[in-house]
Amino acid sequence: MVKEHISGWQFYLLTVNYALGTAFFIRPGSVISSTKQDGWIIPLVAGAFAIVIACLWLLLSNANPELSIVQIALAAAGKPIGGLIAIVYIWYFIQTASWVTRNLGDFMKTILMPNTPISVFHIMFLVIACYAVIRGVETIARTSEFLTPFVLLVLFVIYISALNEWNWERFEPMFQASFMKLIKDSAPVIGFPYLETVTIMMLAPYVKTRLKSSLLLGLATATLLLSGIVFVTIGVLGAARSSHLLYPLYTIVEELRIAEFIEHLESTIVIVWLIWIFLKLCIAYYCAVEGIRQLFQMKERTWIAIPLVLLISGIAISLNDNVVENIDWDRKYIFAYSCLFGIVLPLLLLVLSWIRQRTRKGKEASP
Amino acid sequence: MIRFILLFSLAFAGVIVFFIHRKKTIKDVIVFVVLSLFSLIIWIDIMKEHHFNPNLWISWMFDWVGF
Repeated sequence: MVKEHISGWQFYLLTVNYALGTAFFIRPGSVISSTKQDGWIIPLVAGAFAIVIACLWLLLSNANPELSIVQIALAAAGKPIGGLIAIVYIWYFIQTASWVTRNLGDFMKTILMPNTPISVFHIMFLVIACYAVIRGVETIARTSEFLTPFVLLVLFVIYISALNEWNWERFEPMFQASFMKLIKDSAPVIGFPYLETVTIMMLAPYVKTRLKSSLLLGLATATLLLSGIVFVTIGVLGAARSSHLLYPLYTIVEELRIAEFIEHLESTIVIVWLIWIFLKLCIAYYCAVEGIRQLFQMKERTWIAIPLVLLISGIAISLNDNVVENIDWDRKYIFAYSCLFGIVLPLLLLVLSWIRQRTRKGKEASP
Repeated sequence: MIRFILLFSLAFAGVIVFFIHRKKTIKDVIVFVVLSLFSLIIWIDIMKEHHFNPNLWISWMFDWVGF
């Protein structure tokens, strides 16, 4: 198999798109519902924490250059235990891909096409993602490079157009949340989307230059955009109204009127979200396939990617019965669950890598 | 469910024949078979309305540990 490469800029865009993919639409409602008009601070707190954690991932990558997490697990912990850690990570990538697919299905079914079975959206989207995954990381990176300017342009237009409805009084009384409440409310946001971004470290071996700056700047950009959209949502809809909405950004765009005759622009935001979901799904799917390929030292991706279409679509249906169950799981468990993959396992692998390096140096030094 | 199983079996048999024809390695075949069978089990589970819910297991485990 030909060694693939992506540039630092492409990795930066992949990081931004992966971190924002589904969170941009799902997170504002839950953040505003927990912290009300101070909700825009939550992504900033969570983002700052995520950048510190990303330094841990970079340390791990530095200690094992040219290796992905699955390969690091195998190299640092040996085949039996490392293999188990690798399987756990592969499961996490498959689960993340299923979550993303389910988010797409829930959105399409509740908002746009209530009479279509949810699995139709899942399978249609997964088949296209499967093709992208088979083509490789370079194709996914180029797709992201090609589509991101359109996504950002649409969002910029929406941000500017929504300013007509802006009211500063909706932020009053400001800074009411205590420091402890901010920390407590940040926990689910740290779990999703920030700690989930550990998945992107599977792509680290393909990055030619500027891995560190791309990852850290990508997370910082995602944080600013996420905080920005929460800020705009509060300013336009108000905390009371947005905290009851599942997709507040969709409502903003639905009610948007430009120059008295351009209205009902919701289809544009649907396209933006479909692009983001597609990119996030492609990355999570690719990481799952690459993880399996690296674990079993296989040459081809095709015959791993094809059965995963059925597996991911099946798990996506099984994950929860409805959106409310999903929100409840997110509120209670997402932080602890993501900590396992974003903090505990990388820390364990880092310690094991250091021990292995010291043992090797000791052996080389001894005559 | 029977139609799904029939369709799955046909596609599965087709791929296996393709693998034999192309002389794929045994590792490729095993990984494909295992992933396909996992998918089949999950879909049969869904069709029998007896969902395998990983989130439920994970949340039960966290509650049991005491997080």
